[in-house]
Amino acid sequence: MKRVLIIDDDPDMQALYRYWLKGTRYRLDFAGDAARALRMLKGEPADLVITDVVMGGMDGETFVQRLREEGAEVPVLVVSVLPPDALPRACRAKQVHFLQKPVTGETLRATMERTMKKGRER
Amino acid sequence: MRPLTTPRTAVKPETRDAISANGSRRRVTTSRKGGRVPAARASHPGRGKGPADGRKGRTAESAVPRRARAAGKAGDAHHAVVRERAQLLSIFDGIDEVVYISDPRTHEILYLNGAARAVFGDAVGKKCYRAFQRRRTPCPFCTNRIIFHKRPGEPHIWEFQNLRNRRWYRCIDKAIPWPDGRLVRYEMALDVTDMKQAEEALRSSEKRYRATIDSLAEAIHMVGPDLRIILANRAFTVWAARMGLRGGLVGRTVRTAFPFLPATVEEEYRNVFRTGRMLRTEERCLIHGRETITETRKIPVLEEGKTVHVITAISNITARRKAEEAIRRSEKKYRSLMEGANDAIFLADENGMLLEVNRRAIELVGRSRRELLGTHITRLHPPEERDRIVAAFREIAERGAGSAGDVTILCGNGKTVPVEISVSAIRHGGATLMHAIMRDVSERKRIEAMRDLLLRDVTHELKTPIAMMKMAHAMANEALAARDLEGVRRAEGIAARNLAFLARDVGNILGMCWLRGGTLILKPAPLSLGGIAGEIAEEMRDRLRLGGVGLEVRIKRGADRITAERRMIRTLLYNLVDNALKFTRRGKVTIGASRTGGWVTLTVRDTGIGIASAAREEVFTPFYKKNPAMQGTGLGLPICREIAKLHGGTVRISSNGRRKGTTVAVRLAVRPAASRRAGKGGVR
Repeated sequence: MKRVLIIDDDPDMQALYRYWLKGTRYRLDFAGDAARALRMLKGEPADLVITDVVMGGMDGETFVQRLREEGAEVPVLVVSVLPPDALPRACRAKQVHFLQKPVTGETLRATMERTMKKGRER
Repeated sequence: MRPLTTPRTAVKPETRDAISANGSRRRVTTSRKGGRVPAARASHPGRGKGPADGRKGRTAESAVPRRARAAGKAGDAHHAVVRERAQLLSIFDGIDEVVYISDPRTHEILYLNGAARAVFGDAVGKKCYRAFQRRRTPCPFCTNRIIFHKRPGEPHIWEFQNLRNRRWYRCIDKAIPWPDGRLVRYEMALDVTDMKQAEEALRSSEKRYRATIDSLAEAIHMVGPDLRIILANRAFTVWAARMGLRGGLVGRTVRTAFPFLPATVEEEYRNVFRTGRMLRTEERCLIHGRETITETRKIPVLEEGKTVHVITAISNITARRKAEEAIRRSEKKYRSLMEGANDAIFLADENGMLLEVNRRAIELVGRSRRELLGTHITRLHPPEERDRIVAAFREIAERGAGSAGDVTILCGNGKTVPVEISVSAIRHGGATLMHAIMRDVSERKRIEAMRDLLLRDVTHELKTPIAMMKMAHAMANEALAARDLEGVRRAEGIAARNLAFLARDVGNILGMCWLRGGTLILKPAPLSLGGIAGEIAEEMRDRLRLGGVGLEVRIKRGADRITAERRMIRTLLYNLVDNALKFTRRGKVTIGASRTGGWVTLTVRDTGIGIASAAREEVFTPFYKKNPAMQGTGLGLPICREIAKLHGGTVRISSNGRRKGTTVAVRLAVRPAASRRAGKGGVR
């Protein structure tokens, strides 16, 4: 079972992820902030990381930068209300894909598949 | 008789007489041709054939008339005559000037002294007009008539130029008795050619000097040792007339000529005479009501080291001085503008070398004026920008003015400062100067970045709850399709909470506009703080449950009821609780109220991360967010302060330290003093 780490400080958004991804072949782990997510990834690698951008503490763009600086090549899916062109630092990082809110369960699942497939092809 | 030369100028009355005698000479000649036999001619030895004694080496004695010699043979008297003649001729021979004797009737030369022979050869026995003037007939200017008839016995002095040798002579003609008894013409001719040439050169020099002095634009006059004016040129005459000085000034003393000058002018002249050094002074006076500035130079004229005259040259320098003053004023203004400017100003030559910088430029670049002057302007910028700046300056030099855009200044301390550059090309005297004005745009860039960030944040804060509601709607649809009622209920909860966030943020933005817009009129009414706190607790119940944070309400007796604008107090309390929940992960938020006299203190205390003392004032700045990622618009606390002010109250924030929670205390009057209106910066 593939492990997906979801970083979002909004309990409602976490609830949405849970609902959309229940019954899928993914094992979901949640982190309320990016610093905690970095620690969790050190303990156990993930097949995909889904992250918000605007969060308390470390923001999503900084998280992506730190992740790549630490050598992790895990594909990242950035899910935000902000368009990709508003996130230049995240755009420059490798293996980063974007999904702009609002999303549906179907779009989310399809994008997660594509992102992980591209990661495997590399 | 005839002179040695042809007269050219008459310098003395005798000369005029000589000229007037010319006609008479012709008359005399005519009478001779008429057959009258002059006694001298008859007695002249060697007449008509050329004197044998006129040859070189012969003595003057040989020129003695034969009749006299014959008479000498006749007796002692004759010997006496011969001796007398010999003595006379020896005297003439001793004279360095030309001396000759001729017979007035025949014009035959009876004697030439050594000096005469050296010039004309041995011409004894020849006609004087032929020997001296190469004429065939007697000279028209012959003075015989004067010396023999008009003023017999008196010397006649005159000057003329001999056309044969081109030399000038001063002649002394006189009728003298010859030892043989007849009256003969004696002429001594002094060669005055050198003297005449010197005189002519002097006259010419004086003429040129005068012409030069007169041609000068400067007003010039010459002053003698007695301080009298002895010469003045045309410009001086014109200047004196303009000054209203009437009458001739030459001959008058400087004090009487220029009564408006101070008495010190005499001392100035005396100093120049004493020291022999030029003195330059400047004077200001009114001419026809207009201020005139003159420069006076007193120049000593030295002879053998002593000042004999002083030449005074006066120049009207009014226009020059006024132009200089205008330039000085202009430079002062320019300097003042330059130094007072808030922008950095650099002046460079066409090669880009810095010629001048102002105070602000020195501050901006962080280098001294000395370091900057002579530096190439591109050295102010990082290497990667230099080519772009050179190209921009080149284009502006052709266009005349323009902007080099936003570039970076490399400061002396190694830091960089963003600046915008406006450049003007100033063409002056064939050269082009580049005038660059650099404005530090750090603040503008910071504000632009803040604005962009703020826009992004506000957009994010407004779009997020909308997106959440859309997603909750999608979730509800999916749940309905799957007959999952729990899913529908959860989706409804998500939508409700995000609708509340959206309402809060939109309300805050609009509220800030109202509060700052000055259009809000306070309508206070009795209200219950406990009632409002209960409403908020109910509204946030779901959020509190999800966040795992508790909410307590502790309103003390007598503090519950106040008179205020209910809607505003609710907004105030909502924002304080919302803010507390954002920074509290665990524990609780407590709403409290206590009363002291006519004042109620409403508090919201949390057990969250706390707030640094440095940030306790910044949090009241609209849109301030210490962490840009933090939820909300950054308007909550500023709105709270505006509302408290509007009610005559205050807001104070305190914290016991990091992770030890924060307390916000709002002091409100139980009853407001009067109706208030909101406005910029608070109540007015």
